[in-house]
Order: sequence, then structure tokens, then C-alpha cells
Amino acid sequence: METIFVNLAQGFQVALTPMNLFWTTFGGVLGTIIGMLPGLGPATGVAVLLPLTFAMGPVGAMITMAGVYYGAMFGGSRASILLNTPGDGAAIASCFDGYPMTLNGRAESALAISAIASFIGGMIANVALVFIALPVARFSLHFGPAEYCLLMVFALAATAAMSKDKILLGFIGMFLGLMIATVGQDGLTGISRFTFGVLELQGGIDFLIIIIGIYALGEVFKSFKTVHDPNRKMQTKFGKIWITKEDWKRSWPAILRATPLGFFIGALPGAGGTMAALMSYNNEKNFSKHPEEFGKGAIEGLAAPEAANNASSVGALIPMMTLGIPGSGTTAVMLGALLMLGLQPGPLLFEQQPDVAWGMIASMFIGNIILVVVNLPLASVLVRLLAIPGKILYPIILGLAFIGTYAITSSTIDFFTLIIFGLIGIFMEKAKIPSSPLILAGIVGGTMEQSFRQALMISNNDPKIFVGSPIALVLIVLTLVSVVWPLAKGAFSRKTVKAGA
Amino acid sequence: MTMNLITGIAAISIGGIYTLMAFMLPRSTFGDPSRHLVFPIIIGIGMVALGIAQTLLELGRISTGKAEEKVALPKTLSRYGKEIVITVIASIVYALIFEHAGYVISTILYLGCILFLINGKKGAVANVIVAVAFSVSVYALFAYALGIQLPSMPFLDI
Repeated sequence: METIFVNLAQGFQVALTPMNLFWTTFGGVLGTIIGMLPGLGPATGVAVLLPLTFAMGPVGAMITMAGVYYGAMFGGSRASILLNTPGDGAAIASCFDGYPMTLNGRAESALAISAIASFIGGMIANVALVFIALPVARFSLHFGPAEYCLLMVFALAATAAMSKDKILLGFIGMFLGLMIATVGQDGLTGISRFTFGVLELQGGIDFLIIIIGIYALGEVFKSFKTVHDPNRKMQTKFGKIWITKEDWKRSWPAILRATPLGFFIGALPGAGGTMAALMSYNNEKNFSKHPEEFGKGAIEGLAAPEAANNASSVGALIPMMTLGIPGSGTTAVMLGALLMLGLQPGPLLFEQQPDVAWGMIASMFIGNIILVVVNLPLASVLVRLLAIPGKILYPIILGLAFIGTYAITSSTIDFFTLIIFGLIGIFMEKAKIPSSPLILAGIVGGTMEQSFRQALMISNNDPKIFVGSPIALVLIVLTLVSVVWPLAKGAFSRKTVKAGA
Repeated sequence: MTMNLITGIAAISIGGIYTLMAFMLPRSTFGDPSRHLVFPIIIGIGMVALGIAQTLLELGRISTGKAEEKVALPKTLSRYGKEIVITVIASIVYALIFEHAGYVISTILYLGCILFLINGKKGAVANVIVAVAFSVSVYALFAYALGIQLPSMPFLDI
């Protein structure tokens, strides 16, 4: 326990340097703005930010990217509350009661409670992260190559299986990602695989380009569908952005219930802020003495998902930092950036780079305080950014996507890869193939194959190594449950609907 | 043909070709000659299996009338389709001229083209201001603040 406090104190020393305070504020405010703008989520924000991280160094880069992530959770609800258009997926549930509050003339209370709930949710989740991260990282030191391979199989299977009734499509996306990960020269034998003789593919397809292609370019292409819709009118003049005693009385129990739920869901691979927010909303509705008020402007219906999505963004950092396994699209991009900066996330990150790991955790406490200050008194100024027309915004994102690609590879050949993955993003959207499994598989595919081959090498090609330890068996059971559970649940609900009819 | 059926057939084709290519990879001259094939073969076969499952399920849905709408190629491109095609062409041209024309000029042309396409001629002034301001400020940020070298303008070393 003492070690944790010593480490955290050192983390605060790192995070409180003027430069890192600047990156915390910069990341958080940028995240708030990106999260606010409809269609742009934290993954896109971190993806277009990548080239800037070159100049920041590992600590600055991680602090900024984490800031973008939780900042987007703060900002995501602004458009939900004022325009009934979620800034990102995690803010969908904030539309349900946030927008009716605006229609009822209570936009100020809605904006205030969303910032307060985000702050409390984020802070409690940060405390949980402090105490959980190190034990998880230490436990994962017991993992051998077989366990690591199975852990990645579990993370990928869980992510693919989260695709609701499109589980098969989720798995197709996952396998496509694994295929992409095998392109290039094999690290152990030097044999070129699936390069079609193209010299530029020898080094493999850079997964950061895939991420920018699918998240940034793909999103812009998709936005062309709606970009010509006339802008809806939005409230721009506000009174004091604060809540009443009665609002607080109704909100705090909801915040305290939603935070642990959001944190836990965030830490599960594949289940991100959207699921955390929706589950906490439903949970709150079930708990409420006035469920009939939900959907009509119940303040606890806004407080719960806001606390949950912030807590989930903190929870999602646990598998990424302690195991080196990204649990969501945004943490996948962050993991990619860490690798690019020469760091190896996973159990040894806390041992070998404590300044990065604890500096980032400490910065999240500071960032939350900065963001609640930014999001309360300055909310009325920030929301004016929602008036930027998409017709101007999306071409700028295109420009950022290309410059980001060039900054990563210094080659225009990858512009073509970027365009191809942008188009793949559109096809995937048309075919309803979720993008997260592909991205996650593209990133962990290389490590997964390496662990797979190491395990076989150790065991002299005996596949029993994959069932040879209790950890391996637990991971296999978890993988099976993560796939079978949604299928069984789907079949059960279909049966119930039929019986009801 | 429905989109789900297209996806199923595409998965079978991609998985099949990938598996064949995996089998045809050269063998290693040291250590286990074929260990580098095992993982790709598992993935390839997995993809084919998923494709078959997707196709069979969709055929079942089609036969019971529960399938989604069929996808037909449109005779003319919609505005959305045209904008994507033009953006892709502009992006390809951008990739081709990027290093020759330099970052600033190529980006002004590219962004200008996309802005005129999306924002229209009515917003001409805003389009020009955004294209120029974005290109110049990003170049300044990268070249001077971040120390990342971008292609400079021809004849002018900036």
C-alpha cells in the first residue's frame, strides 16, 4: 500500500511540472471540444493528435492522450443536451433526459450536472485505478506466452462478441484485422508474407495508418451524408450554470451508483463508454421512484450516464496499461502511440517507466479538476464551437489525417493506404461490420502471433501448453462465456418476444 | 443480393485466397520450416468458416423472407456518392503532387477543392481563408515548433 502512495506522489511530481500541466489542460480542453462536435469521438481525436505527440516525449504524449480521452467524455454530452445529437457514442444516453431538460428551460442545470457528474465519476474511478493498476500489473507477470496469447484471444473475442446481434460480423472484422497484422516480413524467419512483392509492404501495414484511415477518413466520408442538412438552432444565451439543492439531492445517489458500474464495464475488453452509459441509465430508471419522469427531463437520468462514461474511460486504461491489451478503440490508438514512442505497455511499464505510468495517473486527477473548471464557468463559451459548420470542419479533419500520416511515415505511399482504409471504413459501415474488432486485432495481432509461436516453441509444438495452467483455463472459460453469453441472451430475448406475441 | 450475403461471400473469398497464399509461402531454412505458416493458416480457415456461416445464415433469412433489402448498384451516383468519388480522386492527386509541389501549395489546392465541393461556391471567401490558414499554420507548427520536416515549396526553401 505504501508503495502505491510513494509512486503516486512521484507521479504528481511529474504531472505538476509546468509543461505537463500545460499538456493536461491542452489534452483535456481539446478532448472536450472534439467530444462536443458531433461525429468526432475520442478515438478520432487521439488519432489526429498523433503527429503532435512526437514532440512531446512519452510522458507528455500519454498525459495529453489521456486528457483527450476523458475530456471527450466531459464534452460529449454538450451536443446531446443542446442539440439532441450525441457528440460521441458514449453521450447517446445523455440525450434521453439532457435534451428534454433543455426543452423544459433547464439547459443550465443540465450542463452543470453533466460536468459535476463527469467530475465525480472521473475522480472516484481515478482512485480505483490507483489501487487496482499495480496489483493487476504484478499478477500479469505470472503470464507466460501461452497465457498472453489466450488473454489476447479473450480480449478480441469479447470485443467481437459485443457487437450485439452482429456477432458474426464482429468476428469477420476481427479476422480481417488479424490478416492485416500478418502482412510484412516475418520477424523470426525474415520471410515476406502477403506483400505481393511490394517493397513498401515489407515493414507491414502501419496500424496507425489503419486507425487514421478508418476513424478519421471513414468518419469524414460518412459525414458527407449529413453535412448538407441545415444546422439546427441552438440555445446560445445562458443564465448561471449551476444546480439547485433539489437537483443535487436527486443526482448524487445516481452518480455513486453509476460510477462503479461504469468503471467495471470500461475495464472489460470491448465494452466501452456507450455500454456503460446505457446500462447505468437503465439501471437508474429501474432504481428510481419516478421512472415515469425518465425521458422527460429527469436530472438523475443525465447524471448517471455522465458519471458512468467518465468512469469507464478510466477503467478502460487498466487493461491497456497493465496488460498491454487495449480494451477500446481509443485505448488501441493510445497503445499504438506508446509503441511508436518506444514504450512497451504491460506489466513492466510500472516497473521500468514509472514516470510515464504514474505521471499519467496523477495527471488525470489534475485534469479532472481543470475540466470541471473549464466546463462549468466556460460552458457557455465552449458550446459556441458547436456552431462551426461541418462543411468547414470535415475538410480540416481530412487535412489533419493526411498530415498525421506523413508525420508517422514521411512517405506519400501511405496516403494510398490511408485512402484505401477510408473506403474500407465506408464498406464496413454499409455492411454493418464494427470497426473496433478490426482495429484491436490489427494492433495486437503481431504480439498475439509472437506469443503463440513462443508458446509452441517452449512446448516443442505441443498444443497442450494452451490448457496447461489454471490461468490459461480461466481465460479459455472467459473466452467461451464472452462468446456464448450474448448468443444465449439474444436467443432468450427472441424467445421471450415470440412468447409475448 | 443482400449486403450480408455479399459480406459472407467476400469473407469466404478473402479467407480462401489468404489460406492458399499462406500454404504457398516459402519454408524457413532454419528452425521449424513451417512455424510461420501456422498462425496465418488458422486465421484463413477461421475466416472461411465465418464466411460460410454468414452466407448460410443469410440464405436461410432470404428463404424465410426475413432478409434485409437487396443491394443494387445505382444507375447514377447520388450527391453523397459523387462527393466521395471526387474526394478520393482529389486525395490521390494530392498524394501524387504532395512532394513535388510542397506541403503548403498542395494542401491549399487539396483543401480548397474539398471545401468548394462540400461548402459550395457561396462560401468561396471562407473556403479560401480556411485552406490558406490551415496549410500555412500547420506547416509553421510542424516545421518550426515540432521540428518535423514537411516538403517545402519548389524554388523557395520554405
